Amino acid sequence: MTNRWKNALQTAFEAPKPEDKERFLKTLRYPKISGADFFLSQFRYIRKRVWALSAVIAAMGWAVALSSPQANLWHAEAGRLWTLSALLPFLALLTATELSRSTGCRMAELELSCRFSLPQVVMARAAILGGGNFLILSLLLTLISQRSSYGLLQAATYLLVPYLMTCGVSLWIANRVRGRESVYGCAAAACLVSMTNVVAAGALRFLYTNAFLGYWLLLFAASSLFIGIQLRDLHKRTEERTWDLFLTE
Amino acid sequence: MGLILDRVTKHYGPKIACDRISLTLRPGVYGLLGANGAGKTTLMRMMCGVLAPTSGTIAYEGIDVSHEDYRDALGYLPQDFGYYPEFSALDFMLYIATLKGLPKPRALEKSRELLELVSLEKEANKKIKTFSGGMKQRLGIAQAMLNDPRILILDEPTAGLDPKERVRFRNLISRLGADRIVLLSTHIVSDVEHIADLILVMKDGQLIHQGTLEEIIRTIQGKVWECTVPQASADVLCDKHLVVNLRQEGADVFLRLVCEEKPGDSAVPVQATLEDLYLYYFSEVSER
Repeated sequence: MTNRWKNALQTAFEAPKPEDKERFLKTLRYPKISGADFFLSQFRYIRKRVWALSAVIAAMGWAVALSSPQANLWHAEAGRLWTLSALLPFLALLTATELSRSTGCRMAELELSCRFSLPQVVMARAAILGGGNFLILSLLLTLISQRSSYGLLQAATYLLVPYLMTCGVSLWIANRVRGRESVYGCAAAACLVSMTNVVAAGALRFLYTNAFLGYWLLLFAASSLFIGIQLRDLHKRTEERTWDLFLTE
Repeated sequence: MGLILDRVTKHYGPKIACDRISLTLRPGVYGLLGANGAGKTTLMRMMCGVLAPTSGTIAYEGIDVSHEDYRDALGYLPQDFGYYPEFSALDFMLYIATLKGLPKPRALEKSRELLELVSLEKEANKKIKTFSGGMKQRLGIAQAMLNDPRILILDEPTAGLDPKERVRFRNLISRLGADRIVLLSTHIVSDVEHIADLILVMKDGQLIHQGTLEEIIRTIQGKVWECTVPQASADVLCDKHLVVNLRQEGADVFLRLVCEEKPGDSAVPVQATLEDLYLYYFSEVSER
């Protein structure tokens, strides 16, 4: 229909006044945001202090990694590697505490009743924080592999095992303990792993020789598997709404 | 079809919190009455998908309670809810709007509209931690309506509201109940009396009564008496019967009692109220 016809019709016939417009408008369902939009929206709800502290840990890590003037001194000054790996559990701690905020702040019940429910909130934030940690670790490893006499695999194993152990234990605690106690538990786990790492680096340095690399790899695999199990449990617990005991105090 | 609960049961170990509850709810306002521990909150949580029933099903228009589309049609005010400490009222509304799937411009528009509705527009940018109990409760009511829900479940919504706010809230609920299912639980019997089309009475995890105010009260009609007696007689009557009101009138005592038989010569039968019924069923529970 041409504009000329449209104009002619509009002039010839008066459009009827809308009847029951409000009621009709109420029946319309507004478009909802997609899963991707929801995921992106969760960036805003991760506390700025988490990003700031992650940046501080990353900066400290890079400073330690860059502080060795010569590549061949790395092995002799292997303590630097242990310092780095003792820092990383605190990165894991930041992630774990952020993920347990819903229950800590008593938002879980409201979040469970929403379209994008608590499991989706937790998984979105886990993915965002995990992605952030992955970025920090990748940059750190790239830096170390260029400056260290250790190979990339070996350096990655030494750095990641304490981090993964803290993640696994923290998730295990978060799956069993609610509220502020969960944060204290995760903090204790991070300190314990970090201290163990420092003690091992000081008194048991032989553990970091090639002869023990197999055990480290085994620990790496076991920690990864444990995290996988704990993440599955976390999702299952929120999905199946087995929060009963915590909600009916 | 409406919201259908079919033999919904919830066990906490050996304790039965809800026992085979079957209900069909259609648009209207439903008042859920019951003493503490009667199972009201458990039932509401199951209806919101927050708790999984031990057995039985809950579905709205054929959509199971565990489905995203069910939650999309739901607005819920928990009895006691928290908030992230850094949130202002507007931040809180926008956050819940995001979880309810509202696009940002719509979320902002709706949040402002609802904050105005609950008279919090001037406090929109203030931190929730500075709010009084009543303000927090009004914010909770506002968030429940963000997605224009077809099912609105409110657990103790009038707790912490002053009388003026309660009247405003009751009027709002009456309007909302015209085209959606509104279920509210409260201890304030007069709230239910004023706005509920249908009253549900729960005791020990079971629905012991459901019906209109007239139907519910009928069960106690003819059992409510008033009399003014000397102190000695009043003491005897208080020991023997359930006293729902007692007032000293000079040397005598005015009593309102619930009992099967006429309690004394001076006693006259009076019109029963929902409060009489509530006290009749739950007096022993609150005395525990």
